[in-house]
Amino acid sequence: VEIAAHLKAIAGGSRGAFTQLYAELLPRMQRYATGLLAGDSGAAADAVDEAFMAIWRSAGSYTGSGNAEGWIRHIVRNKVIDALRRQKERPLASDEAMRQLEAIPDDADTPAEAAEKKDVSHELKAALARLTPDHREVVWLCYFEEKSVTEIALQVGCPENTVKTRLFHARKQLKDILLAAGKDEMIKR
Amino acid sequence: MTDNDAPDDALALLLPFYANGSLAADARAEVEAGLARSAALRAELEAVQHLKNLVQDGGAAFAATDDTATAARLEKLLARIDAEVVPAPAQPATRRSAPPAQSGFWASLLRFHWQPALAASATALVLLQTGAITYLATRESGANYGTLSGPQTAASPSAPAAAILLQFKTGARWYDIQNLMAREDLHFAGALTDGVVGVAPSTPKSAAEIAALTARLRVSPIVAFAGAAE
Repeated sequence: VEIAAHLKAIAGGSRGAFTQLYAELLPRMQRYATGLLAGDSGAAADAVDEAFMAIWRSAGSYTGSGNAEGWIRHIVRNKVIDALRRQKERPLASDEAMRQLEAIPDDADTPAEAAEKKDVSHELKAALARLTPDHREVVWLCYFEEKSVTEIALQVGCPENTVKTRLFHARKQLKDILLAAGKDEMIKR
Repeated sequence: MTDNDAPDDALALLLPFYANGSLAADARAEVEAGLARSAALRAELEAVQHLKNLVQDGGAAFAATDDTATAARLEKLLARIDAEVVPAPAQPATRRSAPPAQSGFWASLLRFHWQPALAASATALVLLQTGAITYLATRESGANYGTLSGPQTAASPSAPAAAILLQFKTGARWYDIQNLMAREDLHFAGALTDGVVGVAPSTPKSAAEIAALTARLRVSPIVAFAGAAE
């Protein structure tokens, strides 16, 4: 209800409501966008901020029916899709080339950076980045945000059975990716 | 109770939602009954729970935003909002350096402040185009608008609900907009607000069809923004 009230105030031109909404939703939206973008926090920040500009411009079109946060998430998701499309336009290294690149010891790494590379977050980013965006999204929504199959189907815009099979295939792919990267300790066989 | 090594596929697909605690009571009971009789399903659940822990542990670091960065981002956004809302200041009437003294008709042409004049003409053109689009959109959707440059009041209650929000690129021609609307069987269904207008399909469509339609609109060369209106 509070988010809907903020949207109404924003539609009336309230910068205060915009600031409050931004502060309130930024951590959740930033995390959501970062998950969809496989840990690319810079691209996620850009996508989230573009989404908030779109919210400023179109808050008046929120009709009040439906979940206000879901409406905002749709806008963030669209901006993430735009970011993914831009990434797709850039030439990407092949999986094998990426693995070889990561295997090269980097003397420029500080001890902290070297430790970060071993960090589970780093490994997760690398593994998520190799999933398709569709698979990455359902993995994130189910395992991190703990959404139900109905909620995910609604947000992603596909049937519930598709959500379930995407999750199934994503888990198999993650297992293969981590095995191929020699991260046996991170998977449960 | 005997162990059956072939996990039920339908139950195996429910395991991620069993692990995240979002299953309804009846489905939960079904999964628990399956777990009780199948060792393979239990092994699957263990793998699913391991992946969930991995995503939870790794994902927790994804949104590590510090307050300073957040404040700077918000400041930038507010500056962009201000730039959109407040009209650009008028060009100063004087030049930085005085032009050389000249006389006659050609000199008067040179002295004329072409830059502000051209800017004013361009602004007028954009306003005219926006006004035309607003008028035509209004005429089709039956909504009421207070001003030529945009809506001051909400669309009439009888106006159909918008399914998709659209913003056309600056310079998009009305002819191309009409073609796109006709091709996708769309009609205007909401007020034009800050350059964003609501549209709806003329025949009812499912959520998946709306999503596919939005994706098609997003790649149109005349569309700057397309998103679900909800």
